[in-house]
Amino acid sequence: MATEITLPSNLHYPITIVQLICQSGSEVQKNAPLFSYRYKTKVTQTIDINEEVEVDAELLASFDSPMEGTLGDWLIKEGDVIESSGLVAVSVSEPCTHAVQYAGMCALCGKDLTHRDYSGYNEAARADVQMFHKSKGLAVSMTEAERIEKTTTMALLTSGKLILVVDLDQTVIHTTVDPIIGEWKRNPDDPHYDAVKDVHSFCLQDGSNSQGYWYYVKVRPGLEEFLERISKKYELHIYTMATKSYAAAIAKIIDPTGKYFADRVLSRDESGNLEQKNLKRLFPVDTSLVVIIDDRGDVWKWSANLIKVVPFEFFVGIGDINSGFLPKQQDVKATGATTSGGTIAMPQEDKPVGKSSLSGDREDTELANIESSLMRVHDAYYTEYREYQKKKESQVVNKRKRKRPGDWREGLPDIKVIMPRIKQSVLDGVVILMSGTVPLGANLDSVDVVIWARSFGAKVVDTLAFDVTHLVAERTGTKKVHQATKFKGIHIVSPAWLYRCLSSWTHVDESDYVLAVSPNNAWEAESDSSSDFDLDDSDLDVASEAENDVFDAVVDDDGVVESIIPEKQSQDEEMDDGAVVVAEEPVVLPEQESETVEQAEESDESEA
Amino acid sequence: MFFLKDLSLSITLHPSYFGPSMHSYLRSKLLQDVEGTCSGEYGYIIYVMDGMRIDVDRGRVIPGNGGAEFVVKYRAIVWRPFKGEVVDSVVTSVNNVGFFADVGPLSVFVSTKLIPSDMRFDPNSSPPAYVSDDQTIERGSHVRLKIVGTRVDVGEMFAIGSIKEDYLGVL
Repeated sequence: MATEITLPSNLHYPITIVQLICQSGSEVQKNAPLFSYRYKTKVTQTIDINEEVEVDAELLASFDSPMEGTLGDWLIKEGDVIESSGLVAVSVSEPCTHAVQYAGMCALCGKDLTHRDYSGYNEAARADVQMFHKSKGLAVSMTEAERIEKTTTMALLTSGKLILVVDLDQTVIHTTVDPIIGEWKRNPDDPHYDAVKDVHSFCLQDGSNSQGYWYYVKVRPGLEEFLERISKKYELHIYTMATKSYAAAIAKIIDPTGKYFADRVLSRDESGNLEQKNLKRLFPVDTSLVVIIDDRGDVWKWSANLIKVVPFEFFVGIGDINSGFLPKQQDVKATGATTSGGTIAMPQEDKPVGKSSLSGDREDTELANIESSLMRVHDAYYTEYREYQKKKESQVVNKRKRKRPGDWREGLPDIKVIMPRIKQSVLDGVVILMSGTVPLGANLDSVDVVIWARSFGAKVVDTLAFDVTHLVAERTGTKKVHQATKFKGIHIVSPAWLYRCLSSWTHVDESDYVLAVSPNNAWEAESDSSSDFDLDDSDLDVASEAENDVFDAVVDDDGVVESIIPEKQSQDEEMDDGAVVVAEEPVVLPEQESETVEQAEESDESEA
Repeated sequence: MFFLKDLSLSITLHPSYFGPSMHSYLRSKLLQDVEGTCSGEYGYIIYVMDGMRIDVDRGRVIPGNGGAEFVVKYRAIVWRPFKGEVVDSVVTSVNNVGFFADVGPLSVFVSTKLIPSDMRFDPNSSPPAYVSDDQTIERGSHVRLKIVGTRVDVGEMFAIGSIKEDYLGVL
């Protein structure tokens, strides 16, 4: 393979070629002079003992070969004046291109490549792509990486598979280090024994603790069957932020025989980045076959290959024990609503230390959802792939211009195109307004659930406007809910609806998730008073009083609501009629005002 | 290749160790410090011979701090891999560019270019393997290989191996 020798930038340009020392076709050694050249510079001459002058001089120098091999044809000739660097002078066919390197050695010829000399040519940099799971120190060149990926891609396409990158913590398992689980597990008489008896445990030695730490691992319900079925359509990889030994232990639990993941486990010890996950680490050239499942979208920068899954939380309140290096998980409420409402806090009176309550796992059906999504993606991909093949066979090759002509990937379908297309159609045309789920004043663009919903084609807005179709509200007591009741055709739904849509990839029927809004007149009264507050500051006292009443009513039970209503109605009658008319219009309330209301309500809740 | 080598190590002791069990302490410290280590010059120190006949000199008090320095002479079995040497190894992991094998403490990588061309990587087998008509290289296989290059890093060594020659390959 011929390697081009480019003139480096550290010569004194312009240079004039004086003589080509080596002939085309001859063998050259490393650092053997290739050609000599002349360059102009200034030199300091000492004329007298006290006097130095700078004079122009023309000097002769030789350019040495950075590599050994057989010289190809010269692209420069004697007498040429070269003005700047970057010109290809000659090509050399090397006996070895050092395209695969292990621990600083060429894996093909065994040469030590860490040796540096005066030429400044870095052999080790020729293979800088790390693309292997378990092998630290093994690197290949970009050309070699491309060759390898082409083979894997072709093999996968022939066997009709895609690639699935699986995260561990909170995606397929949930782990805690709370020793109370061990106590429960050991004692069959313990009331929690049934809940934790199928929790796996293992011990890892840690440098700081000679005893080692015990880990308790709950496998997500249905994982075994999920892997069994998915592995027929996908090649499975593990990519986790946990340590190597932890990843190995978990792989042993979820895949004891190694038939699903084999050696394809990448942990933080090898990934080279503690805060981000990057597909380029495993697939430097081509990610068009890759699907990711992870409970965190931010670590992947919301890659187009990602299917964000609802986090699996069995030990409530533990979270992801391996996310220590990651930014804090956003949106506690969102995760709380995750296990399909199946979070059961077990009574803890007898064990005050046991802060981890267990969540009912029977209702976690997320894996089934993921499976159906993955199957959809797989079908869509291979439908498109077969079309592509048909086209190719009939020689009507799709002339989509890619950057590099002759690219073997040309025309192949791409998950990064197919998956977003499927997802975008799910909530297409849906305009969502959030209430009580996203912290007030937060930038919507950085909220996980918003990005997640947007990836499904939904539009998320922060104020009530004409085009809003869905109001996703944590509870009914918020300002936005009151306003939304004014509009016909806005579905007021609980966040469970949204999560259900996002995890099942379907536009779920809203009727099961409609929030029961209390008798209409109460809300009407309330919004009247608040719009009054809007229009007329002098009525401030009355208005805020009315609001407080309403929010008390919301947090209390129904009886209290009723008792308050008459009082409120009487207040309404005192108010200006004009305000009522205005309130009937779809008014977009200024942000500040609604903020005060929700804050008031929040403080009410916390007191309760 | 294995060698029997006379080596020495100087150990500095704090005065609190001076006493009747000083010599046995020096011996155990020697074993702790040198056995299993790797240096570029001698390779791996596999074993310190004649545990009881380690020669500890009289020691010299270091001026200024009261400690003493002892030069301990010992004889050790060392193992140093050489380029061109043929060794037996156990395969530890297999991927699509080659496989890794352990020769005792040394990790050797054998790339596909240095595997006979009739052996093909089979990604679908579990565990992944290089397969030819009559041979399989997978994790745990015993392989005879020839070392084509070595490199010493701080405290460890790496090597590149080849099985693309007669009499090399699966045992």
